[in-house]
Amino acid sequence: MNGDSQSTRTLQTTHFSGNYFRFLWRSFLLATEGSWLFYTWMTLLTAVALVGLNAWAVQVKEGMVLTNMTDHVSWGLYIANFTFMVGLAAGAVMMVIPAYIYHDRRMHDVVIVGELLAIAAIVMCLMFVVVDLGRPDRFWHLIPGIGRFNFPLSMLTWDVIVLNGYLLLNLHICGYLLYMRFLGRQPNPKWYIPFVFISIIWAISIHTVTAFLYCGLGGRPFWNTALLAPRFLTSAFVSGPAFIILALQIIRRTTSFHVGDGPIQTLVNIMRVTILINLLMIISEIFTEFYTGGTHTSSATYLYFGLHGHDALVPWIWSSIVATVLATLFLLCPKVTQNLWMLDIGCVLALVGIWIEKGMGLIIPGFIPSTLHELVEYAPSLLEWKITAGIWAAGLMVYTISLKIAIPIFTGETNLLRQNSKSA
Amino acid sequence: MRSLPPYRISGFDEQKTLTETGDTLKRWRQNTIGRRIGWLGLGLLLIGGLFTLVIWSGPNRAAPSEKNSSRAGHGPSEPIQTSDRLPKGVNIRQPDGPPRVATGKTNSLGEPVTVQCATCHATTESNHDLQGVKELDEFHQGLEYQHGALHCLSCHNPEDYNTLRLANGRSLPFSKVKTLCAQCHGTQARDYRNGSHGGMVGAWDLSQGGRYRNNCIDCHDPHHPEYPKLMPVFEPKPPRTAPSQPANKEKH
Amino acid sequence: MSDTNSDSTPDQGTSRRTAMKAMGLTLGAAAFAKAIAPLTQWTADLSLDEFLQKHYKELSNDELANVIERLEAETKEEYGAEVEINDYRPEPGVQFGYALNLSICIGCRKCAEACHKENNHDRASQESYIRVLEMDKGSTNLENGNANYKHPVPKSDKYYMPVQCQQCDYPPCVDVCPVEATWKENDGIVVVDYNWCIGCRYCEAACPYHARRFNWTKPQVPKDQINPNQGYLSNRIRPQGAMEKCTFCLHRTRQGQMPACLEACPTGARVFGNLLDPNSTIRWVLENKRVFVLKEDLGTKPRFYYFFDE
Repeated sequence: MNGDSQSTRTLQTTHFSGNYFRFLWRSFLLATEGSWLFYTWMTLLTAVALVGLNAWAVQVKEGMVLTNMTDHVSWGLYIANFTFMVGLAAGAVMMVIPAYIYHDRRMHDVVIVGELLAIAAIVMCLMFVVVDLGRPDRFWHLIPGIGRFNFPLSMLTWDVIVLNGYLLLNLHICGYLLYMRFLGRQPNPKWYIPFVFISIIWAISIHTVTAFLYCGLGGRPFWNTALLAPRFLTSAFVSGPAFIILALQIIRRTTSFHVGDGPIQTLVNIMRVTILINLLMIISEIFTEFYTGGTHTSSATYLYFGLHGHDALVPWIWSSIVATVLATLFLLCPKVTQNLWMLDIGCVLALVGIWIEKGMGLIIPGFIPSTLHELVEYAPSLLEWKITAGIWAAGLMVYTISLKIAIPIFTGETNLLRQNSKSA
Repeated sequence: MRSLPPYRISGFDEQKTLTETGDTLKRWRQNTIGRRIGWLGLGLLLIGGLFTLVIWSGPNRAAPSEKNSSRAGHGPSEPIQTSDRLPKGVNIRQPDGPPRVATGKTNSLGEPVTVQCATCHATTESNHDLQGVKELDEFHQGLEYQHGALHCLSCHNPEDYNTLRLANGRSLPFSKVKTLCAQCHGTQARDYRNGSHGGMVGAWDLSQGGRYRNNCIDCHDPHHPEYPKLMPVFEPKPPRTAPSQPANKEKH
Repeated sequence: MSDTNSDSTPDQGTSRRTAMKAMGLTLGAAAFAKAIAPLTQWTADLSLDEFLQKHYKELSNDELANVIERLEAETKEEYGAEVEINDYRPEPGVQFGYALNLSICIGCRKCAEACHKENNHDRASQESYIRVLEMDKGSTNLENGNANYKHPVPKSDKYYMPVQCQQCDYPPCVDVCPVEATWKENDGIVVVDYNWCIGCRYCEAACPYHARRFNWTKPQVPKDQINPNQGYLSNRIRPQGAMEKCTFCLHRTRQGQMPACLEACPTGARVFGNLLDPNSTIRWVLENKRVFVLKEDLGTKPRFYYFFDE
């Protein structure tokens, strides 16, 4: 962007590894230098993350008896959040597709925001999986070659591969682009365009595989539906753009990064389609469940209306439906791109709606009633909320720091020769 | 839940049998094993004798058994097992002999006084017209009787009250009571013989240990054979979850 | 992301900022150490041998002997009980099968209790591998079942259906395990290597029969109630955070003995034996009774059969 020809020449003669360490050092400086707002934000996130870390340490020591999960409801808030975060990671691809397949220039300029979100979301996914393990000290049993990797039979091994693969792909793409910008060089398409295209397919795969994790279980009729993977994807393509729209607006207000209305308009257009498809799929599911009836409907009955006097999830799911419908109305309103508050509310409602639907509305009712049709309800314990909040804080830290590094490099405020356009 | 009848056959401790069948059987197995060690000497003697017999009879006499073992070509002439004898190693609890009947009195030590059936019945004339327990006015008061249309002499032998009587009139020692039951309860007897009725402990693999089984009357009071109701043990604990967990409430 | 230190001269600002950063870092590090403290305590108790222990199938005989010795010592140390842990292997020519006569099961739950004692289950949670459902006569719909009945049994309009691990021939729990910590043995029993399981509970979600149990905490069993006859793959005291399940009492059944639940059954509703032995009682039941399996439509091919008398 701002790299002049002289600096480029100098760069080319400099030793690679030396430059790379300079890049890392500069990134470190960027990550630790900032305004008071930045410090306050990071301190807050650190504090919450530490509370979560402590809660997790206690959980590992005392056992998962401290959660409210039981042998009846054996997955809870962690896996619910995990599922949602996979969606968020996959949803980021909705920036990548317009930028790279449809050559949307303006989207291309800000696509890094989505790619970094994918990284942060995947990191959170991995953390949610780790805190859900009864024996995190045995994580190495999962490492192919060292442990015993039950591939390809176990869908969880597929998930390990696709999630880590997606993380590596995005780390490579973002890292390469940032490093080239830092050097002031034009990125060589050979080194990233193929990976971008792989990452598009890969993004679809992470959420498909995650859906297969559940829908392949014959003993859980609530999950055992072919619509699960498509539903996961469409909801991901709502929640991903919704989060990115909110992030772009914050970036626009707090940094010098130029975010035009174009990308936001594109994302809104995408959401207008996906949120409607998502609603259609929810309606299809509800119709199939309730028109057919029978024993396999009991989870859905429990979720939407309560069963035998048990109705812990009813308020959750109806909040989710109301939020999704309202978000749809807001987003479909033609004025939404002019009235940013409308857009913001719409995005927040969509995020909340889908977070509930993918979490409390999907994972938990899969276990209620149990496979022997016993009704044991579940509500997360305080410890589970603490750990979940901690992971969210840690994820936001990763996202904030990566944006904090990426934006000055992208705007050209920082490169190999210039520490910072304002403070240098 | 049916309360225990005041009248009981001694040795048939209903409560104990129904609540601790497994334990009782296990204890019995221990006793049996103990007793067996005593018999071991005698067994060895017998085996020794048999061995001598086999040696003496020579190879020619052993040949037929070899022939028997390969009877693949015999087709449908498979011998039908008619006796209710169980495989070797299966032991069934047997009543020691004729039951004793509580008189309702206790001796100086406070122990209940029991008498043999024949004590009274040797001198008492049998009443063949008796239709039910309620008609009895001297003894067996309070005997709770509910066993189809049977009456006393369907099973008890008026010729000799220390034995039982089969439907064909032949007498049967109390120790073989199963045969008596099997007259009517054929399917149960068949299931019992094939191991799908009646409590047992021990080995599934009889080459690795014995099997010890209950007798019909260990669980079924012959005068009231219906299996009595009992309180279930070991109620599942409600899972520790959110408050207002109604898991320990009955669903219906 | 511009700095806002324009009020002060760069030098002062930088040094103050550096000092603040150093302080923040120190505080952060201290808070981190404090937060992680329970974990460091926990890892201190964890032996390196345990951490590095190989998968059951990869252990040599000597290594397995060492593992068992360590586990016995741990039981002595943590529970005060002398126990003997053995590695009972499947016997050739044996395929275990189990059948349950629903006509004579009275729902007394003695099997569940016996399982609890035999398998050294956590006393506080009163865990058992068996759940007995009270069912409506005229329906095999599990939805009408109730495990929490507390009235004299059998009720005349009910029948009772104990459910435990079905030792499926196509076990979904084994398929989904990401680390092969659970597998089907040659005699048909699905086992768990409690020292290899990572505790993800995917198998528990996959099992259609609610047969798996998770050790939500370290099992607590009083010293005098511990069953000292233990199998490495069966009833040894399980570690916290690992999955466990019914093994048809393989520490008994691989020695020719009946499982504990069968011995506890007062009515003889349970039939156990070798499916390959044509003279076994289990074969007689399969050949002469009209048996059915639970959730046959799922294609799991259970080894646990139910039947009614005529």
